[in-house]
Amino acid sequence: MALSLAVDELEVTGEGGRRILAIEHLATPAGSCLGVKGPSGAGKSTFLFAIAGLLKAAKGRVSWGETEMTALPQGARARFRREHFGFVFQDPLLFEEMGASANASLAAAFLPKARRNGVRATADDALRTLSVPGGRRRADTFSGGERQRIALARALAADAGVILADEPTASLDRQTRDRLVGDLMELVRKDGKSLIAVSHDVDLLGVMDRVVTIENGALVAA
Amino acid sequence: MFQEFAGRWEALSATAQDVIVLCLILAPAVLVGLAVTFGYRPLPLVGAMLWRFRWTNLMFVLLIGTSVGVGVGLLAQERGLRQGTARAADKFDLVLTAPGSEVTMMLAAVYLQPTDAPLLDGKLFNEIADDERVSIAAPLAFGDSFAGAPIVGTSPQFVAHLAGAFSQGRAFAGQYEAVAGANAPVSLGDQIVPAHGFGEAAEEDAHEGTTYTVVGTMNPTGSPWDRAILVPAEAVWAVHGLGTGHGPGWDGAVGPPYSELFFPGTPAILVRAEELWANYALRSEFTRDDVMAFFPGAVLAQLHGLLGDVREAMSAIAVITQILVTAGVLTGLVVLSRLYAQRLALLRALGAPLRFTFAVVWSYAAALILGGAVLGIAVGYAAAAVLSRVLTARTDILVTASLGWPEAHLVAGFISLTIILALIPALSALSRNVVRDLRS
Repeated sequence: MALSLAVDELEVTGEGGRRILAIEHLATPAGSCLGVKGPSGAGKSTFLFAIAGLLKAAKGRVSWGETEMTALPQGARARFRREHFGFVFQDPLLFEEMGASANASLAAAFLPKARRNGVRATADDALRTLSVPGGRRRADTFSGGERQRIALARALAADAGVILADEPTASLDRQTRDRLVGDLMELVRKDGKSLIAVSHDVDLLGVMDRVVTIENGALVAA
Repeated sequence: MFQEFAGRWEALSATAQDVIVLCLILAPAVLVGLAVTFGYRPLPLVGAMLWRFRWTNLMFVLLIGTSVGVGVGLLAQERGLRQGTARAADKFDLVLTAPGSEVTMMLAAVYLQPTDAPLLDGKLFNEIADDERVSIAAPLAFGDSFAGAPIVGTSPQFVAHLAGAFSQGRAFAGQYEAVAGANAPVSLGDQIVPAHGFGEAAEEDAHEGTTYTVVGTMNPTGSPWDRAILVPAEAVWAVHGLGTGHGPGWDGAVGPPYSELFFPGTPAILVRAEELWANYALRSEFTRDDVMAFFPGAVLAQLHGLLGDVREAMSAIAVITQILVTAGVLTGLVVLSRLYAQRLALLRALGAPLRFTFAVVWSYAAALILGGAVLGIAVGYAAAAVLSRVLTARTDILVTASLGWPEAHLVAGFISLTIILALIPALSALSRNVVRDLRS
């Protein structure tokens, strides 16, 4: 289920209490695609990790739909992530010794038994849609583009309503990048998922519903 | 209540008790494993982690396996040696010697270790031999050797008592006939010239002109007597110029009765009584100023009792060594878990419960420990087998070390303890910063 995002007066501090992110207000409707751009080190990834509940907010609120993420304890934030979020990082972060299907259905290892078969089936469907051969072929034998598509299948496997992507195309060549962007957008649009993508990639940002810029840890244009 | 429980426990067979103890020792490990992994499927990820750094993991398994193997091997070897020495002394019910050290005389009479011992005279020999409670009284006369094998002068009755049936040939009947132990360096029909003394000090030509003919080979006894060459005591006395132990008119039949007057003396007499209780009476009656009677089995038990303390110490050292090695390995795992930190951070980003991440790291450590323990059993078994052969070859005491319940309990204790210790690297992995690891 896609979720809306509302960020209010969010502050994240780093070592020594130094403020590394301050977002006064940001809201996106459910099912929309938000691009986040900005120079390196500006705080884009910090923003993504903060709204995912991986970084603890020093103050302010992050709400997904009716749920205020910042008010949840650590265990509940983890539960919220596994029920609603899918992640795609710059590095696919695959378990290299496992096959594409096992990597894509990684969540089956820790989800309740009743959901495991569904996750595996969704993962295999996603791999087929993304033209990645399944089976037992080890992940480290796939090309960079295929590996990133396995990571995308993993993000979709648990039927997450929100896809959070951190520079998903940064390590890919032009042709592979174009294909991944196409696949990502097609799958997100088809199922009406929310997408928040941090990227420098103008092609990816170009297909977003909305693009915001973060500089020096603050939102400068919305 | 307690007495009832104790009674029920005693009523169980030894095997049942050992199985129950094994289960109780393993129970903490099983319970921890179930509690940590319940509801999850961490094994595919653990398999991937094990394969990813397989050579490093193999090194850890080898380290654990070696330390467990040393402990298992030591325990098995010690028990094998104890059983072997006890088996070797089995045929020696009661031994009479001149007063002195029971241990020294036991080593000489039972294990054929060279020693200088005062001789018992013919009067004493006949006193014990003529006792109606005694079925066998055999002189044991040491001092000569052939090709490193001791030549022992004794009686045909002792030969029959020691080895029973022959694998080849027959018992000696003539004065210069000999029977060989199963591993003695002679064959049926060989003619040998005895040397005076043992080892490098042996005088090869001291008994030139004396030749023994090997007329029989005994079955194996698993004792140093397997390397010995047994000849009539009359021959040993004669080649040393001491007569034959029989008076004028001797018909040449070897063995008792010996003449009290012409009996040259013997350093030891093996005694076998008709009844078990008689051994105790004989020991009491023949422990006096001019003679000492002892049960080799009892002396051996005392020695084993003394060595028991050493065994306990060795076991403790073995366990401590295993724990230290495992602590080192687990510390290594804490370091190694940094290599997996990004993947573990990914799991947590995906929303994996903390207990799942914990289960992955713990299962990984447990797999190394279990692998090491299984390897350790194999290493211990192999080490015990090799050491047994070496000890058997060097002492002629048949040492058969096999793995038993004590080793199973040791390994189970090791597994339980270290699997609980493996919670530490798992906890350590949870304390890492997820975002920092994702960005690394």
